[in-house]
Amino acid sequence: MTFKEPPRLPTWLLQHLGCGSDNDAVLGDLAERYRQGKTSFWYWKEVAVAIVVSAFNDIRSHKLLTLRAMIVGGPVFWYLGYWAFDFLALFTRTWPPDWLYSKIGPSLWFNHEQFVAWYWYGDSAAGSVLMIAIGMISGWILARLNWRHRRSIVLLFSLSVLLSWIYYSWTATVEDIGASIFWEAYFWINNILQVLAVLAGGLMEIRSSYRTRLKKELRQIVQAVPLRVRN
Amino acid sequence: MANPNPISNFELMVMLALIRLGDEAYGVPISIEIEEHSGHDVALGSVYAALERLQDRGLVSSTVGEPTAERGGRAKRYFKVTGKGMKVVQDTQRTLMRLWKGLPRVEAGKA
Repeated sequence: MTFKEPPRLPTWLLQHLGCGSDNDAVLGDLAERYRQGKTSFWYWKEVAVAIVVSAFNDIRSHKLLTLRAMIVGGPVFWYLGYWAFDFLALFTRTWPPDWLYSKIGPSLWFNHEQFVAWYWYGDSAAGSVLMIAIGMISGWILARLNWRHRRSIVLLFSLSVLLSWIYYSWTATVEDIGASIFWEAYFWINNILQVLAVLAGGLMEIRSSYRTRLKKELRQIVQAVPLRVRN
Repeated sequence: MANPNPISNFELMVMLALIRLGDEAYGVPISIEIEEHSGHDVALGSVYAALERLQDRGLVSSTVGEPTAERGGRAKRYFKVTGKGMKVVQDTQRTLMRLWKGLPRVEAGKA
């Protein structure tokens, strides 16, 4: 007998981001109801509610741990950010576009204006890569430091990063973000990618420690088997 | 006397559903039972969150059943109200009964 398979992405998300102790039972129940005729939209909605509610439940029952994680995570994230962007600024100060053009520009196909434009595009792309890397490192560190409640803490931290960027966009001037729609879109794409990077960093830690735990458990099982049987 | 273990309205609904369902109380029938009696959609995630809180307080216990193909090879988790949980339900019922008594305006449908 074949059964209608539930959507894979939400299933994967709940498996990895669900903070409740009964994740497997919730997934089983969702699969059962989905096969009874519920829609994919219903499945996605249920998964979203299950992730949010389980994270909230976990945070509510471990308030002090969550506070400690946020106190540690916030400075790590923002300090890394300032350090990385100082480093990038050092690069642009050491090799400014005009200086670089005077050295290598004439041998290139670009004219001066094009060269300067591409230089700043490159600088922005490097900035985006740095932001993503910082997000991933922070997510990974937070998950590593808060092993028992890492899912809920990583979720809460990524939400706090998103909220801080929304707050920044309200308080920032037009020059800070960029006057055109292009720069505004770039600003938001960067920030959303960074929020996703925090989640991805946390997930990487969750997956790697899951594999380590699995290997450890397998080793224990093998060691528990008497030598006679193993040989 | 004040109830030393107050539970939320939703937690009470979950516990009543568990009592009604008996040995067949796992996520799906619990949510259907609450939906049928309250007339509202109930998310499975909310049911499990309430069950986890109740379990942490020792008001509900659970056991794992056999995995089935219909559930993608995942096992059901059956829940049961403990003796302590049953006492909390009775206390809550008594408190609510006392509060309802002597409210003629509500009984007549007036605010």
